[in-house]
Amino acid sequence: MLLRLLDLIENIALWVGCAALLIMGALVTGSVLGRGLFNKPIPDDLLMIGLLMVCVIILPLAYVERSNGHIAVTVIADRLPKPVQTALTILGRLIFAAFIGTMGVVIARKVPKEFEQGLYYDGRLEVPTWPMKVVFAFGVAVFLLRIVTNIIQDLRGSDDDAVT
Amino acid sequence: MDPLTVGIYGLIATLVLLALRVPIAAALGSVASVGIFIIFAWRPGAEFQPEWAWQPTFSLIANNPYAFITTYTLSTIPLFIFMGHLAYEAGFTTDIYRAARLWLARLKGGVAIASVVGCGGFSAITGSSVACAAAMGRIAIPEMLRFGYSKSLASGSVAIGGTLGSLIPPSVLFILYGIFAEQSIAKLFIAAVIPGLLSLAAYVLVIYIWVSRRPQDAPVPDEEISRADKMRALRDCWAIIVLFVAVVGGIYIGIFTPTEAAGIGAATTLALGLILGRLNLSKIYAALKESVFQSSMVFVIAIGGKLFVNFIALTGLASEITMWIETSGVSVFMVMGLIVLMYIFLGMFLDPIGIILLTLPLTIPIVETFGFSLIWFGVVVIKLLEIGLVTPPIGLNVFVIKSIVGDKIPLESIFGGVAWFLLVEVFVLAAILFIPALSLYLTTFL
Amino acid sequence: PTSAEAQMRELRFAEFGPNRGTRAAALEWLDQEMRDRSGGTLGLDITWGGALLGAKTAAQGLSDGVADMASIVPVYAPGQLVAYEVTDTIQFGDEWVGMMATYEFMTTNEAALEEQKKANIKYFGNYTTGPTQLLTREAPVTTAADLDGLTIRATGAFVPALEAKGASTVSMSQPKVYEAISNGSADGSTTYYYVVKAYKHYEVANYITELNMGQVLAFGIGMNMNTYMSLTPDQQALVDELGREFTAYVAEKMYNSRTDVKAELQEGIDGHKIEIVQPTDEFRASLVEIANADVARWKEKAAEKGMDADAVYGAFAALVDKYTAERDANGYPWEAESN
Ligand code: NA
Ligand code: NA
Repeated sequence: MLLRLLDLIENIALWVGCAALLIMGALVTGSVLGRGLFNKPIPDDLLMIGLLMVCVIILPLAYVERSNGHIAVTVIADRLPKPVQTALTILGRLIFAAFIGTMGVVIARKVPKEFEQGLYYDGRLEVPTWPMKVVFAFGVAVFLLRIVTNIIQDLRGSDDDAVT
Repeated sequence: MDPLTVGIYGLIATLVLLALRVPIAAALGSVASVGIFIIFAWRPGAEFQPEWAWQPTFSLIANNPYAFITTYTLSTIPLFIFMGHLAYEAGFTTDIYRAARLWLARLKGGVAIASVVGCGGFSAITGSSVACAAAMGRIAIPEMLRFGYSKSLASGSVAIGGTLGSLIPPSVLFILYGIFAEQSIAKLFIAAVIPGLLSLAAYVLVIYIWVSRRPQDAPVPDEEISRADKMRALRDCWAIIVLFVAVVGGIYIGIFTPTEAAGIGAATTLALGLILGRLNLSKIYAALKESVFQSSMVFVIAIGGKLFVNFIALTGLASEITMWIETSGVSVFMVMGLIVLMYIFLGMFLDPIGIILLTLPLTIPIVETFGFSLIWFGVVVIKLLEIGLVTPPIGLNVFVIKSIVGDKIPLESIFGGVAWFLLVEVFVLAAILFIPALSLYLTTFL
Repeated sequence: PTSAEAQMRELRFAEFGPNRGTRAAALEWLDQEMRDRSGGTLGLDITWGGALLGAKTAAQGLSDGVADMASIVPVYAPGQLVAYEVTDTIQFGDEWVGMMATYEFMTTNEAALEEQKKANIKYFGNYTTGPTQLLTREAPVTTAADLDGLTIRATGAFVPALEAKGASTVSMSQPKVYEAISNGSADGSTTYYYVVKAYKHYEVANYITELNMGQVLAFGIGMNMNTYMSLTPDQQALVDELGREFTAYVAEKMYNSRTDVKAELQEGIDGHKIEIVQPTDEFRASLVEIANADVARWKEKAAEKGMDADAVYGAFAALVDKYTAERDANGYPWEAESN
């Protein structure tokens, strides 16, 4: 049940990432057309495209982890005995979680202050600084949930091996 | 502890973690974070004081990666990846590869050669090697695999072909170099043309020799091919030709910049696919999903790499090596050799832009005192950085290819395929080093 | 370690620019002066090219102690040094007046000092870009009509000013400008003389309209407050003294470099010449008027941060007047020395 919920959250995060990529393309195209045809590019386009990258990069992290997509060098570890491999897999996940998690926590901690002070990027549209940091923190949180789930499964899996 | 020592331990720790199957992004990011922490906590001549280190370490871990991924220029990479996936979903890439296969049936490894030449063409519209490998990889590799090409040939040829992205203009790396070295960017661009084409020719040669020795790696079509078949196949390619002309033409006429070309390319592919009825919602969604998936994988490694550059900057490793080279008292010839080795060494671990920022402030003055041309040195450096993109353990272009092929091809096979090309790269590099005219001749016409 | 080694302290300096050009030379000068005057107890360990902190992360990183000193651009760090940003709101191009006014403002104004304390950054000294000019590729621009329909890369207050004259503006990072002008997707850029030289824009553009509009003054060096507090009183005094001298030194260099670069560009570099044209008085005046009105955006930002925006603006404007008068009376200090 909880697993299904996590799957759903990951899928939604992925969809938002997809939408963000589509919007990025539309912003570039819109700006080029606007400039060429009407002498009016989209204001703050570069800023918004850059910020949307957070959705494209961070939101799918959990989904990629679920699909075992994160790249690792497997040639050496694959030759080790199964239990050692499981231990290494868990080690890898923990290190990954520590690194990404730290990033997420530090960024999330900036949000309240930036929200309170109403900080925005210099530019025509006065785009606020905090929303994408919330997205970043959300993407990291989902990723951490996925890591925990995977580690539990790693441990269960190795128990099963021990029984059989 | 001496920061330099921390740096050396850091490199060793990275290798160990990689061998233990820790995800590459996590290995780079964690070693960099811990290393940064130690450097701040354990200042030379003082006790270990962790309370000094938390704030600066957290600051680097959070702010630099965030600033990095929200850089506008980098948005071209996911957009070029998206363009590649759309072209694949719409079947445009299949068309062009069918034509290439029919027309080049007699040429050994014809489709791989076409792919590498395609990389050269794509290099003319993008300033980034990673973008070039990402888009061409999506276009070329599935088609080569479908024709029965071996995994290492299919993946290796595009990984190496992608390195042309920064060598053939336009090129972000040459612009950066030009600013650091105070050299004419136009001259740098033109200086790279012959070395770029030479590299391309060398890759073609490698494929030819490879396939001559191992014909099973690149099967030739056994059916009889008529001229009518060939012409029909060529006619089917009009859409992708329109696409290419629109993007290249748009850049050179000045409707948009090379950075914008990725977004325009994706939009044009989408429009063509929809008009011709070759894309529907589910195909577009598939392309989006794959692009986002791949971008996330590649960028999370790049984030780790970016932090690793900060770590190496704090260790002073690059300045120690250059100082050691400078004061080693060996001949000019040897010094240049050591500089080349240093770039190859750093290229094993760091990304090209990181190496540029770390080393150019140190190496350019040395090269300048020798009286060598800084245009020539620029071509040498960029060539070395491009080689670093495909050398283990950290080879961003190889990882990009891996992100495209997923479980189908192991990382080691891609590095293995690239190894063949690296052998020839030694000769290309030697030619660029010892025959400065290869770089400088064309600049005399400017 | 011997006692001499123990006493030597190298401050980690994060510079986002390359180790070339006027700013780099000024930093080398600063390092040398610091070593000489401190009797070898204080020096700089400079990381060039943003390998440690880029322009966008410099102020935050400095505040967190990633570096002891850094070149900072407050506009990239929203909300952190808003008072400093007031120095960009008045359209005037004189390097020395601007830099000395900014230095005095940042070291004496209560609001500015308060903000530095909160940001954990001690202001050290200033840079400037020199006055803003207009670079164009194909045709000289001397009137509003010439500008109509062009696509210009611009930032800040120049966006509304140029758009009011019928240009469309694009934003892009400085390294991208070369490519954009070269392929014609931008017809020009607001710029500064030293940028045209450093980024080789003379290779792709043919004209500069000498607008002599405002300079970027919210652009300087900060020191981490904890680092500053950890220095001995003598060292602190030395740092204060060097900050002011550094600012004056850069003012002279930038003033001279503007004249030199202008001459070089007119002469031609590698055979690429730039023709320098003068705007009509009417054209320039109306651009200045619109750009100056853009101060409203800063005032809004300052008010949101709880500052008395008019008072802070007034304080800076008064300092600009003060140094303008001083220059008019005595000329530039370096001219006085050479006489
Ligand atoms: Na290129
Ligand atoms: Na490498």
